Formats: sequence, C-alpha cells, structure tokens
Amino acid sequence: MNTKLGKYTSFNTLLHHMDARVKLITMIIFMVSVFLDYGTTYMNLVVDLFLFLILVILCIIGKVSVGTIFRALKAIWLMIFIILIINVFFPATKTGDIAFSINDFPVYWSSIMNVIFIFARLVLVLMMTNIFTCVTKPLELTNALEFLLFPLSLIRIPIHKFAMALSLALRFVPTLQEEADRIIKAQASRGVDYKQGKIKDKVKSIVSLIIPLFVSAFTSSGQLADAMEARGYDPNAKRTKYKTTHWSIVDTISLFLAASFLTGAILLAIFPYDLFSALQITLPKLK
Amino acid sequence: MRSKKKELELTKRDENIPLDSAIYLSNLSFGYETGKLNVKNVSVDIKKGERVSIIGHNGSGKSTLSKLIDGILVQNEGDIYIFGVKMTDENALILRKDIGLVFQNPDSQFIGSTVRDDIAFGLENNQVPYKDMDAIIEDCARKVDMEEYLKSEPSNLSGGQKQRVAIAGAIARRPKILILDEAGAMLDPKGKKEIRAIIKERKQEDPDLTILTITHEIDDAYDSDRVLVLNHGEIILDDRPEVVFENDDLLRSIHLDIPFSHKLAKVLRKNGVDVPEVKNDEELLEVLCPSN
Amino acid sequence: MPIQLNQVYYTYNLNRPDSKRALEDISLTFDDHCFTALIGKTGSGKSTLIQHLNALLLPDSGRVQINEHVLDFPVQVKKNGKVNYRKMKKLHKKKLPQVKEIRKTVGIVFQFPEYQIFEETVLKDVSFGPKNFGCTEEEAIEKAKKALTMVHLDESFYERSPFELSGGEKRRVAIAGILAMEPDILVLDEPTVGLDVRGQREFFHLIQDLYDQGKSIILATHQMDVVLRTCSRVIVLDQGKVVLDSTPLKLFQDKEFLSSSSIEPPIVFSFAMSLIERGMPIRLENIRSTSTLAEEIARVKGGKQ
Repeated sequence: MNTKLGKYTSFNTLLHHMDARVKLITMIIFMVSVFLDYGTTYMNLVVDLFLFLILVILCIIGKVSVGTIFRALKAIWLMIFIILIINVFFPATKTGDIAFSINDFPVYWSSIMNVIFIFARLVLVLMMTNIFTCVTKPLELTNALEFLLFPLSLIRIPIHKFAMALSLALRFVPTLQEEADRIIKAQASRGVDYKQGKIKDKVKSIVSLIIPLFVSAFTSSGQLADAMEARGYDPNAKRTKYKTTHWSIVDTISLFLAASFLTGAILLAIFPYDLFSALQITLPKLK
Repeated sequence: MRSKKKELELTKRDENIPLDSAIYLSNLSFGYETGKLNVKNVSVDIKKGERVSIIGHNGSGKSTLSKLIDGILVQNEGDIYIFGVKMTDENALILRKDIGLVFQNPDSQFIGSTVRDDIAFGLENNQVPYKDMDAIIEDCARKVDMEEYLKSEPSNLSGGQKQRVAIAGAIARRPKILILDEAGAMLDPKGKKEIRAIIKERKQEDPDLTILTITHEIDDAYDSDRVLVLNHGEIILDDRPEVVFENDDLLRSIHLDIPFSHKLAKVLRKNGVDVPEVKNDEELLEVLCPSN
Repeated sequence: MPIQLNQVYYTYNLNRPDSKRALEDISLTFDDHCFTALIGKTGSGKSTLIQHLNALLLPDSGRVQINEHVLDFPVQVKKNGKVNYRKMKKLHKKKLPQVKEIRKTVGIVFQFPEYQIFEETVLKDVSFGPKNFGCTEEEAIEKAKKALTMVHLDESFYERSPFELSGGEKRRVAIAGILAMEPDILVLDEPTVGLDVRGQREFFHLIQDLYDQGKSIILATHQMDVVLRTCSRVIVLDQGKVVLDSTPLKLFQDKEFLSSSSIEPPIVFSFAMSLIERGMPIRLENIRSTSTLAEEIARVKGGKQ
C-alpha cells in the first residue's frame, strides 16, 4: 500500500474507533518512555526495540503502512549520515572498546551505538505520530487536544477558539493545495518556469504563486467566516459537541495498558536493571 | 447563558408589523464604504411561506441584502424584522436560528472535515444534545440525497455535492426561512437542476418554509411566487414573475436576461412579423404555428 | 493541423491504489482556425484533455503533436511489453525543451482565471506573460496594450490595481494576460462561470472577435446556446472517452444521444424543432441564435427580409 505519510485514511479498525483522547494520551506516554534513560545505551535500545514491536503491532491493527514510514526516512538519510560522520570523527568519549580502525583512526563502539540510538528514536517518534494521525480524524485530534488542554481554560485561555482555528486550518490544507496547484498551472501557461531560470526569475515565479494564493486564501476565509456565522457560530457561546467515537471497553483497557506501560517505564528508569549483565552477555564496552 | 425570560424579552414582536410577515425590511440602507450605498432604502414585506426571488446583475446589492437579513452585516439605516421581531445587536444570534443561508462558493462554506461533521457544525452551535445529532444528520443528508457520502471529505466531492451538503447544514438547524445566495452559480447545469429540485421538494414537504432565492437565472425566478428586481441597491420591480418579466425593456436596460418567448417575440416584431404579447414558449408556439 | 492527439491515455496517481483513469484512447485533430466546443459532465476529462494541449500534463501513452513539436513516450518506457513507470516518471520530470514554445502557441484560460493576477498594476500583470517568453520590457508593454484593447479595457485601466476591479473586469485582465502572449490557439475552460448575464454576453462577443481575427478557439462549456451560436464543431467527452465528434446541428438533432448523455439542446433549437414538427418549413441549418430564428420565421411568414 502506498499511502501518504500521516494522512488519515478511513478504515474500520479498532484503532480508528478508539477515543482520540486515549490515543493522544497513549502517544504522549510512548513519547515520554522513548526519552527516558534506562541506565545504559544497550538497555535503552532494548526498550526501543520493545516499543518498536508494539508499534508494528499497532500498525497492523490500524492498517497503517510501515513501508510509508521507512520511505519517509529517505529524506533524512543525509542527516543520519552527517550524524554518523560527526560521531565517528568527533567521538563523545574516547574510552570504551574500539570497533575497528580506518587508517589507524579508531572508531569507537560508543559512536556507532550513539548513531543507532538516535536513529531508533527518530524512527519511533515518526512511527508514533504517523500511526496517530493515520487513525485519528483531524477534527477528533483537535477535540482531544481541547480536552487535554482544558486546565488552561480555567486560567481564561480560550482553548476552544484555538481548537476551532486548528481544525479549520487542518480542514483547509487540501483546499489550499488544490488552489496552489491551479495557480501553478495557470502561471506555467503564462510561461513561468518553476524549475529553471535565474535567481531573479525564480523569485518572480514564487511571487506569482504566493500573491494569488494569499488573495484566494483571504477571500475564502472571509466567505468561511460568513458561512460559520450563518450557521449560528458564536465564539463566546456554549456549544454542544458532536463526537464520532464512543467510549468503549477497548478504550478502558487501552488506557489501563498505557498507564501500566508508563509505570513500568518509570520504574525501570528509576531502578535500572541491566538485562545483559544479568544474563552474563558481554557486549563491547561503551565507556 | 441567557435565561429563557431574557430570551423572551429579546424576541418580543413589534405590534405594528403584520402577523403573517416573515421578513420585514423598512427603509434599509447599507454601504461598505462611506458615501457609497450598496443597499438603498429598501422596504419590503416577505410573507410566511412565500417563495421570493431577488434578481439583479453582479454588484446590484443582492448578496449584501441577504447578509443584512441574516445579521452578518449591520445596516447603516432602517430596520429588519424577522417574524415581527426587530433585529438588534443583542438578539441577532437568536433570530438567526430561524434562518438558513446557503452561499455561492461550495468550497469555502464546507466547515467540517467530513459531510457528517459539516452538518453537525450548525447543530453544535444550536446546542443540540449529542444523542439527537446522528438522527438529524442522517435525515438531512437523505433530504439532499447525500446519505451515501456521510464519511466523505470535501476534496472527494463535486461542487454540486458540496452545495447539497451546505443545504443540509442549513436545514439541519430547522430554519423557518431559507436563503439561497446564488447557490447554483458555480455549478454545472446538472448541479443547478439538483439544487432546484431539492428546494422544490423542501417546499412541498414544508409549505410554511419561507424561501428567498438570490439569483440571476430566469428559471429560478419562474419557480417563485414573487420576484424582486434589484438595481444599484434599490428595488425597482416587485411582483409575480409573469408580471415582472413583462418589463422587457427595463430588464434588458439593467443587463438582466428576459424569457426566451419575450426575446423572440421582440425580434420577430423587428423583422416585420406581427406577434401579440405572449406569456410563455407554448403560447408563442401556438401563435406562430397553431396546432390542429 | 496545429494540434493532433493520437491514442492518448492519462491516469492520475498512476500505479497507486487511488489511481484514476482520466483519458482513454483519445485521438483528435484540431485544425487551423477552428472553433470547437468541448462538452461533457464535470469529471468527464475535459480539464485533463485541455492540460494536454499545452504540455501541462504529458500523456502516459500515445502522442500529442502541437505544430512541429511532438510529445510522446510509449517506446522508451516499455520493457518486455510492460510499462516501466520509474523510467516514465523520470521522463516526465525531465525538462522538455519544446515546452515553452508550445505554451506560447497554445494559450489556456482556466476557470476563474482572475486567480492568476498578482502584479500591482493591470499593465504590469498583462505584460508578465510576454516577458516570460523573452520579450523586452518595451515589447511586452506594447503587446499588453494591444491585448487590453482587444478585451475593451482602455488606457484608464493601465495603472490601476487589478485587485480593485469588478469581477468581470478582473476576468478580462486575466484573459488579456493570455492574449498578450499572442497564442495562435486559445483554449478556454468554462470561462463565464460566476459572471452575470451581461458579463457572459460581453465575453462571448470577445471570443467571437478573437476567432474572426484568426485565432483558433477551443471552448469547454456547459452553455449549449453558446455552442450552437459560435462553434462549428462539437466534441463530447464522457468518462475520459470521446463519445461524439460532430457539429452542433447534428448533435442537437440526435435525440437518442441527447437523452443518453443528459445534454439539453438550447431553447432556440428545441423551439425551432417544435415549429418544424408543427409543419413550419424553416431551415434548421440556418438557426444559430434567437435573431437567426426570427429571420427564418420572418422568411417563411413573409415579413421583411
């Protein structure tokens, strides 16, 4: 399957039906557990691997394409490569075991592990956000955000207005894309070349896209405001909420599992447990 | 939240306005810029259950008028009465509950991320309890023949379908007045026809519904009980469609279309063929070539 | 023959699960100085076809020839009888040297063309096109002035901001922007949507003028009265295929085809048909508008000629 990264696709799966708030909380918990320190780099990688397996299972349940995530990584290969170079040539520690040498220049295990560790975190974060946005409608996402940020409204920050603005912005992304596409084609017909030309021409061609796009966005936003008003929207009034999900037993179980996972992760971070020394497996020393 | 008592106070009828009036405009004037009026001294009484068309060329003030009636714009002078209640800053939101307004552009009035969410938007504003929403949404989607698309996103819908959703969104709030502000202008002939059919059906099912169609198409105007002609912000004609369209010369002079039979009869006379005044195509056909 | 399409296929999102076939086996020739209508429901492939006429889209397979420029890909991208999509994608991305020349020959006016306006004055905006095609500042201004005269916008508009103009005027500025490039062939995609009766009338006069001045016109429209009045040829698209290529006169008489494709003949035409059914000997081929119908009736009835 070749779907777009992070784009909501309407499927009939367990994950799609879950309450967006549970999904958001679970994602935050996973996020936190990725960035906790479990004592050694090896242990961190073990936890990451465990999390990775969970996420792969979630991908399968939610019919999210794992391939898309890795294809998206293509864009950051260069970054990974640069990190690798920096880590190899400017190692953080010059102690620990040496993996191999290039022309007498020692490459430490710690450098390699560091890069793998950074890469793993990146993949995990990308996976989590991708799964989340693939199985959660933008509107539910904003509703969930609104719910979680509820405490802020107690100090008179108008959360519901921000949430409305956010959901409208998400709604109009595809519309603006279509609009941009149309303008690009119209200008291309007038001889604009977006691919080649001198810097000066390039600037001009971008201007010829940006200005009409702004004009059209402003017109639409005015019309949208009228349409919202016409349907009785009042930013200061109370509104009921149309939810497309219902709290189910799955949500309760998931929330419980997520909470236990977080507890486990925190306990492991506070009381580090070195699995490898317990199993008497010797790994290259990093420090 | 306002108390019921306060709300009653805000929606008190004015005794001088006729009981059967749905929209009553008295000496209404509005200008976007100072010194230039887009709506000039408009006075009109639209009755409950009436189907009225407003025609006029682009820039004649048609759309401005619809926004004034819905309280989206606020007039410089004059008064608006909705079911006899004078519109003020305080009660505009309450009065608006009785009005459904559908605009021209299919894309920029699609508020929700799916058809379902979009219809729900107005219900949320009206504080309809959640448990009642699904039934209303499904019912309204059925009325505009979009029940199979409830989960669809706007980018997968045609212009005509989006406009139908917009109508569903408007009628979901159960308005007593429905205003269509050139709702078909950006659609192809099929889309326009569908919109026309939906409105006809609404009217049949709910004869008390007051419908105001803003248009520049003759077909729309002929569907109504009454036609208002707007030119430079002023109402220059106000009558039944047959009577309004008798004013060929006037309509042509303000760049409005006239019915085909009138147009042809006119050119025929110019060509030396003597034809009497006709009402419609059938009559002209009968005059030119009587059937046996 | 300035434009020739030969077995053109096009699919959006090719090779993806959400792919959508838009054009199927299109073979068409547009002659010099033609006035052709392109009709079909929304989504029938009209817009896709139009974009092939100036290389905004390139065919998946088949061949498009515009004057001497040929755009085709079929041989190179086939491997063991199968289409090699990767290679095709690369080819599509490759800069085609003839594209600029093609876009100068074929000008496209899109739906709501006023969205392409971006300069601060009318004159600047209209001269943008010619400048892109290598004209000097003076030449471009000269061409812009000529184009603005064609769309009946006089000198008083030159230094005005296009954003302050009325809807109809904006649209005329946008069209002048295309005309200033002096294309031989003008393609218009639903050019009158959103205009009022007067704007539409003025617009079709303008197109007729351009045709009389020697331009070829290809017009995608839903307005059958315009097709009858102005076009000499009509092509009907349905689901990406050409289902009819004929004259308006023949199309509007073909009752079977009309009912199957939900096309409604213009009132003038159906009125004339009713007259003929009732026995009035008017000649259908003479009727293109209300005034020509009146002339025909006058001829039969013996009014002044």
